[in-house]
Amino acid sequence: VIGSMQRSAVAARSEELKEVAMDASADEEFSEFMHGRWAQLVRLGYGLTGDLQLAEDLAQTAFARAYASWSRVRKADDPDAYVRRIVVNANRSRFRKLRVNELLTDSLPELTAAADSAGARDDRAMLIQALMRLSHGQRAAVVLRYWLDMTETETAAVLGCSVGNVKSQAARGLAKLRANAALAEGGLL
Amino acid sequence: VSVQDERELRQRLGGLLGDLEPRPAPVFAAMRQGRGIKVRRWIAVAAGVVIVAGGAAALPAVLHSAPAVPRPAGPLHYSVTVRPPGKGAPAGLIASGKQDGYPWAVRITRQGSQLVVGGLGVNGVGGLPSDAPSNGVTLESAGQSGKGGTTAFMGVVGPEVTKVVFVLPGGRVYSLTPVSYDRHRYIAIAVPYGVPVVRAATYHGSRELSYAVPFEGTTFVDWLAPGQPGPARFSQTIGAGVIDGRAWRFSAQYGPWGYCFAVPDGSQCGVPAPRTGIAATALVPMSCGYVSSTNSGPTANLVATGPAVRSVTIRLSGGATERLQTVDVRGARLLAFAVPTGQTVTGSTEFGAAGQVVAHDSAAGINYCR
Repeated sequence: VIGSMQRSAVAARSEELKEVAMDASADEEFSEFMHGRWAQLVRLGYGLTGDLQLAEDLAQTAFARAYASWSRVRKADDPDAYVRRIVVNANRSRFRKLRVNELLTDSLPELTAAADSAGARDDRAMLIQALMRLSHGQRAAVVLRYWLDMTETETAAVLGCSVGNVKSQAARGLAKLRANAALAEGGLL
Repeated sequence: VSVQDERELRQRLGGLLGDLEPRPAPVFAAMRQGRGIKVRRWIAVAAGVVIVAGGAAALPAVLHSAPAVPRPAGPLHYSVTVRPPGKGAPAGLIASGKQDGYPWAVRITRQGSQLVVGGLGVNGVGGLPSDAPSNGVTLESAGQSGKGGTTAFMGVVGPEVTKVVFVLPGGRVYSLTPVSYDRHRYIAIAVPYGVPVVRAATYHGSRELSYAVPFEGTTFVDWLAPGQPGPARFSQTIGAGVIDGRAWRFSAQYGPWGYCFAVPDGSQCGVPAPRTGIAATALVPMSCGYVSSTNSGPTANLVATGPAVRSVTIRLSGGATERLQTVDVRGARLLAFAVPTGQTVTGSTEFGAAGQVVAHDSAAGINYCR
């Protein structure tokens, strides 16, 4: 009996060690996944919100959710699409919550941008302000298609809509950007 | 939208928005947040099971009163205890305790002429910290992920310091009294892996001497005077790219922690500022590391140069050369480059502001990592 108990204890210890090793390897795998995609996901968030800090918060939330379901996410066909979808949806929820509280005005507040030359900062702020005037769907389609270089099919997978819908949203968004006087005057689009 | 239109738009958007520099990936914070989500899910599932099981037995009562909703879990799910060494404790024990139920202990032992840090559950606290400033503390940290994983902090304190206070998430405060061993005084604490230290401060009696906010909650860089604000958060890229399919980046990170250099995968900011007094045309390697966490494959290098060096051509054993511009970081000139798997640096040529050659170096002279 004692031998059997010892064997069970050894087996339990061995299982525990295996579990520890698996946890560590999953953490490492997640860490590598996050490091490789962090900048791109922040850019997506920035394109959607126009606020770098908020973009970083959205990206961090997306990765936290991915970590919480990591065993499932790592086996998914496209883990990248999973985290992108979370960013888009989290921003959409944020937008819904904000809509009831926000007082819309004609002039948008000045948006902060990363440290760079004054000219580039102005151009970027102008473009971001123009993007913020698009509807959520149009903005997401423009950012995913034309900034993150995703195909229509990939964009549709992230937005959870049809390819036709992506085409029309992107086209409408682009048309609105082209009609933006400030962007046209600045020669930005 | 024509193909031409699309290409043009991509170029313009890329040009305007492509140089955004987010802070390094907060992997620890995301993991911690993710664990919180998991715990809340388990609690929700458990509550569901309890309600279903209880419902069958007590249906009449449930029909007349709302089921008890479990108290929502807070955002913080961790526990840390710290015990100073008591009477009869082994010599060199600095502190012990439990983190999330797992025991830990930090102990210094003498092995020949060397002092060595060891303990329980705190593997990786390799060397002893060097001497501390009189009113501060020099802290080393080491982390171990996985089940029961910890981040352990160990420090040597200056002569004026009578206690060191650690603030953890949720405003939990741990006051550590230095323990003497071999002519120095030390403190130690271990927290669950992924739980960041919000702030630490040194005291003489009740008077605060200095404080520090660690980078990503783990790496202590600068200690500031009480009330002195740290630099605003700012990131400056020294060099970045993709090598053998892996992204790498060396950057200077400014923030409440001070100023330090992030390693290629962005997980730590432990590289100290370049030393002063580098000869005008010299190259001084500062850090070198693998681009991936697997400790193999391509490497990335951070190098400080003398003030006269404006660009450098690096030659690789594969025959390729790379011309790199030096970047000014608070008066120091730096550059960073990556070396593909299996290759080494064979030499370099340094150029001045007018593009003139100011020096040549061999790989042996520069001592890049291999």
